[in-house]
This record gives sequence, C-alpha cells and structure tokens, in this order.
Amino acid sequence: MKRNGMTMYLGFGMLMVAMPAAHACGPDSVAAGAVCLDRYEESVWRVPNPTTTNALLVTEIQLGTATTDDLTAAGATQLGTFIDDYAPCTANGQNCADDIYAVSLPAVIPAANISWFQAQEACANAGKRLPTSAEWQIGATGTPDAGPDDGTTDCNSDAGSVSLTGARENCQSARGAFDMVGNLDEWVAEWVPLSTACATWGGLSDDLMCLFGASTASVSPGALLRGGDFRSHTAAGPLAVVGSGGPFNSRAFIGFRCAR
Amino acid sequence: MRHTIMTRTLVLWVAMGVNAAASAAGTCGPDAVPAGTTCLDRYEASVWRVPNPTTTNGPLVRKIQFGLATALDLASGGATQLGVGGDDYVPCTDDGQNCAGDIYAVSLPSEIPSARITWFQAQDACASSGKRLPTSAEWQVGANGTPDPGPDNRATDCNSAGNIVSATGTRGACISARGAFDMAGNLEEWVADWAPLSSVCTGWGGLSDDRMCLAGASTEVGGPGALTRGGSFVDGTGAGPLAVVGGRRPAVTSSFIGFRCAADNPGPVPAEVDDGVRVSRTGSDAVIRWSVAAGATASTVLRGHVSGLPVGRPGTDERCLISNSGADTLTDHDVPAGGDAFWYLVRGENAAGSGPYGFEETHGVPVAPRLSSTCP
Repeated sequence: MKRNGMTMYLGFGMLMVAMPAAHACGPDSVAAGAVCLDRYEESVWRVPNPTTTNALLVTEIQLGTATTDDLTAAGATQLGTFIDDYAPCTANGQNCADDIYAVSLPAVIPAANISWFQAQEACANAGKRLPTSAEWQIGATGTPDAGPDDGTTDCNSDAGSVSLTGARENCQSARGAFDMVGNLDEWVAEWVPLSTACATWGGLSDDLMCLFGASTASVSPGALLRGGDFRSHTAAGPLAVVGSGGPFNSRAFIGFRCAR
Repeated sequence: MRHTIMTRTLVLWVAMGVNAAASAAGTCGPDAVPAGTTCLDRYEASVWRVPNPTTTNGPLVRKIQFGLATALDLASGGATQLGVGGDDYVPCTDDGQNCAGDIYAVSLPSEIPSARITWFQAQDACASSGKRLPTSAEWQVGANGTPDPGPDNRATDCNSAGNIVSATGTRGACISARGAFDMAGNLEEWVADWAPLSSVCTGWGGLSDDRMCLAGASTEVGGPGALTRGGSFVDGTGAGPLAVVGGRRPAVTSSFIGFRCAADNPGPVPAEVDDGVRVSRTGSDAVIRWSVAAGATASTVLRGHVSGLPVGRPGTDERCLISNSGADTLTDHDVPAGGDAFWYLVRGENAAGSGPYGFEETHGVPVAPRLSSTCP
C-alpha cells in the first residue's frame, strides 16, 4: 500500500501474465492463416492432479500462459527428453487423457520418442490438436532452408542431437515460429498409405520428398512428418515431407508441435 | 475480478487475489463430447428429413444446430428418419446433390443410427446441422479408451459381432475416454479424409488386431477412397479404435456404414483479468485501463455503486459500460453521489463465452463467484 496525495492503492494477490489486447492467438503461438500454430516444438509434461489442485495450471496450459516455472512449481515432470517414458500413456494413445500435456515453451528440450497417437493426445489435453500438413506449411514458410549448419544460430540440421527450443535464433519462419526446419521431425495430422521410397522435388528444392509409393505389404499406414531433423543435413527444410513413418514410431529425432 | 472503487476524492484499488480458473468444460453442445479442439458427436448420427425447414420448422432446425433437439421434438415437427430400412435419401442423391436443407444429422441416444449413406450425403447431413465430418485424427481422439472388441457379449460390449446394428448408446460399456459411444463396432464411420483408393488389408501386425486396410494404391479409375473408422457389427475383433479402411469409394453405400459429425470446439472461456486494472482521474472523469484477460479477444466492463454491493444485487443501478469491446481503456464521465463510490469489474470475452468476474472474498478466502446479469 502507498499513499500518494488523494490516491490510495491496496494490492494483494499474484500477478498473471497479461496478453496483448485483442490478440487472437495465445502468447505460446503464432497466427498462421486460420490457425494458431505453436511457436515452439512441444515439450510434454505429466501434470499430477490435473482436475483438482492443478486445475488452474491446466487452464493456463490451455490458454497458452503456463511457464516452465509454473509447471515445475506444480510438480509437473517433463517427458520424452531422453527416453520413451510416457507410460502409462501407451504408444497407441490409450491412458493418455488428462495425463500428458503438450506445452510450447522456449529454451527447453523438446519432447521426442513419442508416437503420433501420444502426440495427438498431448495436444488434445492442452486444448489443441496436431496441425494438418497444409497448416504446418503456412507456419514454416520463410524459415531459411538448411545449408551448412553453423551450430549456433542456423537451423539445427547437422548437430546430431537436439537443440533447446528457439535457441537457433535465425531458424524462424515468416510468421514467427521457431525450429520448423531441422531439430526434430514433426508429426502432422495426416495418414497416408505407407510410403515406400524417397524421390526428389526435382529442381524445386533439395528437401526430403519421401511421400512416394504406397506399400502393399506394410502393417501400418504412414503418418506424415515435416521439416526434417538434426541429422538431415541440407535435406531438412520447409518442404521436407516423409510418409514412411508409421504412427506407432517413437524415435529420438521425431517430435511435434500443436495448433488450435 | 479486480475490484476498483472510485469516489469524487478517492480512488481505491482493491486487488483481491487470483483464484478463479476459467473452465474448459461445457463449451460443447449436450449432444457432443469435447475431444481436443473438436466437439465430437456423442452418438452415431441418425438422419432426419425435416419438412418446411425454413418456415414452420425453423425453430426445430435451430434446435438441431444447437444440439438440443430430441426424438420427441423431431417427431412433433413431422420429421422422418432415413437410412434405417433402406436407401431412402432421394431427392438427396449419392453425390450430395439436392441435400442442402433437406436431411439433417442428429446425435441422439437410443435410435437406430442411419446407414446406407454415401460420404457425400453424410457430409451434407452434417452441414445442414451446422457441423462437419471429423477428420480421422479428430475421430481418433474421440475413440481412444473405447474397449477393443473381444468376444461380443451382445449386451454391454461394443457391437462387433451382432450382425445387425444396435440402437445408439445401448451398449453401455462401449464408451471412449472422452465419453463418445459406439466408436468401435456398430457402424463403420465415414471421416473427412480421402486417400488413394487402398487395394489391400495388411493388418497392424503385432500392435493391434484391428483392421488396417489403408495400404496399397489402386491404379483403377472410379474415384479415391474415403476413410472409414472403427469397424462395424460384422468385423468381430477386427473392429476397434484403430480400425481404418481406405478401400471404400465415397459414393458407395452399405448397411454397415454410417457416420457421426463434429464441430469446432470453441475452447476454454477467458481467464480472469489480471492486476492491471487501473483507474485515474482526468478532471471529473474516471479513466479505466486494463490488460485484456488471458485467452480473451474482447472485454466487458461492469460498473456499480459501493452502496449497492454485493455485485449483482437487484435494483442497485449497475451499468454495463462496454460489452464485448476490443478496447482496453474507457472514460466514465459520470460522478457518484456524495458519500457513495463506483466500483468497476472487467471480464474477458471470446468465442466460447464470458470469463469470470472473480470471487467475493472473506479474509482473503474466496467464498462465492461474483455474478451479475447486467452485461449480456
């Protein structure tokens, strides 16, 4: 409390993060056409007591205002950074509702080792979904195509391991999303007949074009991956597309980001 | 929830603690369940022909679109159910012509869900009801948690071996984690996605015994495949939450193919406004400034008299100063009577509805939500 002439202020309580006036997307995402695409590759958190003591935290996650400090203070634990530790949420997406939450945060290790089913559930619990390939494309446009990776500011296409979200500062798209190229391959919503080969984009681009052929023997469809990863070298890029990964795949170089 | 008091000579801010969370629940209609960003219909669709939909049955159509129509409402309006005994959708044709404003998809319990419908007709029936077909991905979130069919006990289990369709929701154990019925078995369900027409079923290998017929790519003419999900009453253990078929052209009909609709989930309502609500004096005017609430796209400002507290008390001359406005500041030219003061409350608004005004507190403990019907 302070006294200032005729004015008195009384303040109790805690501050919340304020949003810019009349901004349609949360602070964790960028506007990309009709969707809000998450600014960062997702980190995935297990939130204890999500419907009781941590209900407010879950609301903040869904509004895009939760911070790493908020999550840590609530006892949430980050998953998928080194191994597949999502159980009891299983690779086929069972037992995941109200358990694992995708959060778009800067300067954290993005979650990998996650199946398409688990990724989709983590988005859904956060009130979001996987973007379609077309939505992802709008969000990726303008990201510099991977050339030689300088290891510090360029998109991570050659480091052999994952970078912290947003750390490669030149790796930003026209609409403001980070790491759309390289770092982790990203699941998008679509399924296709499992691709059997990689072709090329012809003279258009040197990016991965592995949405080609249709398996007649596979025991799984393909779920599309976009952008390439930290091992893709110059084949990472805003056009990179892979249809040869089944939705159960769980790999250290595959992650995702959500949209709403 | 900021509680700001203004008198002629005194401006008093009382910030009473952040304690109210916006709820994500309740933003889907009663006929649907929230599944991520989608409201997925709780039941497989029954399709109804509604006579005079733009005149005498205009109110019935609006009830359908809000998810409020009951079987009794439909019967009272003279609506007839289609796709139960035969393919009786004409004049709505297999390719979706002449269907708009004719056939309506409704998510109802205890009805025989409609079959013998093409993908085009199904999509049109959803559209007339203000909905759409879900994508396969959206369908998946709605299906997860449904017990994978084993032996069908013909009573509570998913209908995977009944060889005839069940009334919606009657297989009580056939419910998903998010509350949708009959996602596995009963009728195969059209979803939005098209793919090259699949030519073979390969199975999911060791991962699941559900049908996996999204493989190969036909080189024959005749159209793409439209995906169906979940399997039907003839699939036995091949029905399930992973079942997917890409070998059905979108204009085919079958007694074991139906659908359900979805709509966008508007998401959570806004959080409370933060501590940024401020009032300053400019001459005799009060200037109110605030930060738009998290998750909000607009704001509403309510004013009342301190002498009229608590908030929402009838007959106390509360005023809605602005409603659903993009502003984050306003000037109030009114001056309270001597000995009285104004309070101001700011709330966020978005497509899902209104955020909270916060809570009345006693000794810092929230005791009751502030409620007022003054602002719409």
